[in-house]
Amino acid sequence: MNSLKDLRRVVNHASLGRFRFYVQLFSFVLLIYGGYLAINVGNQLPTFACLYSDLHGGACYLLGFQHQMATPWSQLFGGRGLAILIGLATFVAFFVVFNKAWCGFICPLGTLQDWLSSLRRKLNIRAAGYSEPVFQRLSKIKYVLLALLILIPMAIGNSFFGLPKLGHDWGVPFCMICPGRTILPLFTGDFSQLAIDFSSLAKLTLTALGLAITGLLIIGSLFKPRFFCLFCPMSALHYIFSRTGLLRLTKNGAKCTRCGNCFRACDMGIRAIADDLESKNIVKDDCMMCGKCIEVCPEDGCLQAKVLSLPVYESTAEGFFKRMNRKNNG
Amino acid sequence: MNRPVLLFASLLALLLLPGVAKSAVAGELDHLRLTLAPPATATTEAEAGDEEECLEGHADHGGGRGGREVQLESEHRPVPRRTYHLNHYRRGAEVNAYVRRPDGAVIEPELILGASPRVSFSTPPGDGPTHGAHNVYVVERGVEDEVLQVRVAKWITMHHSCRWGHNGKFDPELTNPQSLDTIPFEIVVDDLWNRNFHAAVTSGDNLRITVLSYGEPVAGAEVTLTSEQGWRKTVTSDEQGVAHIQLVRDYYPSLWQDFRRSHRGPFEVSARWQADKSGQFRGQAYSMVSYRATHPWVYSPPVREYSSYGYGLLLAAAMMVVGGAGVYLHRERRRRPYRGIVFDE
Repeated sequence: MNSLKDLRRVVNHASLGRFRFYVQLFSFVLLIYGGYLAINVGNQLPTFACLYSDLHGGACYLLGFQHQMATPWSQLFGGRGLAILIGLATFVAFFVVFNKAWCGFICPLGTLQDWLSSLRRKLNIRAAGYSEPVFQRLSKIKYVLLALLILIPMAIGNSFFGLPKLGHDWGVPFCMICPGRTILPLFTGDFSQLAIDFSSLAKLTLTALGLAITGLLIIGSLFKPRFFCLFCPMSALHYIFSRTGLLRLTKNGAKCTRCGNCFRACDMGIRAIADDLESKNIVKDDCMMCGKCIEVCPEDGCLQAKVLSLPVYESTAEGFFKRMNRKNNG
Repeated sequence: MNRPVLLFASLLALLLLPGVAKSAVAGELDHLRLTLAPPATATTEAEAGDEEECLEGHADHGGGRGGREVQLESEHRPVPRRTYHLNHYRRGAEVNAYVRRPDGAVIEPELILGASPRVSFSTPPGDGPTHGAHNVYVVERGVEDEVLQVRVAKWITMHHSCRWGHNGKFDPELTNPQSLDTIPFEIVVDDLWNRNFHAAVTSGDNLRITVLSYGEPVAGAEVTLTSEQGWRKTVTSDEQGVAHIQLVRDYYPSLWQDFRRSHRGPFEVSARWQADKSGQFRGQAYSMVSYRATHPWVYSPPVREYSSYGYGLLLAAAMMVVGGAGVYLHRERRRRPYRGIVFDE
């Protein structure tokens, strides 16, 4: 019994940030270069592992999902409808294991943004943040993008209100504007996604938008941690299934002193994590389950990461001071 | 020679010359070709007449639909059965068909000779031994004027759906073109498809073509590439049986609005070679063997024709500069200057 307690103590004193760095590095290498080792984890991953990167070790679900959304209504209740359900079920099966930690620990685009944030800290540039009203307004964009990435492909396979169908050049519209498509292949020496496609108005619009967003992502991430994640439609899709996740982030409001450490540490800038004393489940739609809030919480058992109901990492005063000391002493 | 005899001889020559010329052309057999749709004159050389239902174009004929126009198949749309039509065949000649599946197995497809000669075989959906390139061959052999005429029509069909995944990209057996060493004369073209099983030839590509006879390289074979618009170039294969031909640009829409990046233009690689071999075939002696082979494929416009890295990078850089400047100015504006407490009347 004592050994279990000791193990728990060691885990709770550990630096989750360092653990996360190595997991992110491993995931990045696996998802970008996995193909070189003939590894392919799957094509329905709930993270931005880009199919446009030729030798990827796994691929994002959104590309296949957008393709499937172009299915004509008449075929939805046949084999193709079944294929859509199987794809979605595979995505959910992957998702429930890590819940939104796919964003915080595995997403290669998120990792890149974290590395840009590290560069900012090294350059002594102050981090930017949003005011709460701006944050609330911006965080709705991801739902708009999610709706568009469903509706635009649907309008390729079907006619809405008697309007003509959209051309196939509008297919996979989110992938065309996703900075993952333009940036991730660069790591395998593929620069082909950095071009604007002039072959049609649709391609011209989407690829130009994609490169403009790429430029904004690079500069934005240099100032604002996880700049793109606030707009990420994958995050919106995650949130729909978030309650089914095995990994959970819980808060005991009775132990919270509202010191605000968790909000200040949060890269996404979620204020509710500090203000909300009622909810037990504090995985918000913008949360990426990085665990920084647990690390900086000085209250015993106030914040916990759990697998189902089993705590795997929790805030402790002792752990907090150990980590702060380690940080201050280099 | 007196004048009437000379006149008669001249008239006789004029009457016979077209016939002589025609027989010379008839001696040069046309290539054997496989097509998706039945050709307009899909008959035996004996002009067999009756048209069959296939001329109307059925969905299961290699995805062919809509009559006799040039049709191309998509490597993204697997169909359970593939059918390819033969432009003609010679009565009395021996005709065989083979399909080399991606797993290396060789099957004999259903070969239907008659008014609408064609080969047909199953391609079951789903990932498995049939996922990838199928080499379809029709081999015709027959002796004519003491020459053994060997004509081979080859077609590669890509049985693939992106839904099945691209695990095959790690298998060189699937990504590299394969040949069959039981085929008397074969054309193998490199890099026709990419690692994701998508057709990859674009105009401007320098095609590496290898000519094989029973799996062995053939030196001195005449290799011809004929493009969609009829441009052609002929080169001779080297000691390794290899020839290189650069595919010219052959797609010129009159307006940019008519340009289609997904345009698929057909082209054909053909080869011919004669060998001084003698022997007997089906009881008929021959003193020479004439080989001919065809291999069609498709090309697309190259990406460089319709895309720009310059504008792309310029736009991304401009957004970075504008974004950076915006953050800088925003921070400068919010910086509050030090204001001491002073008395102001």
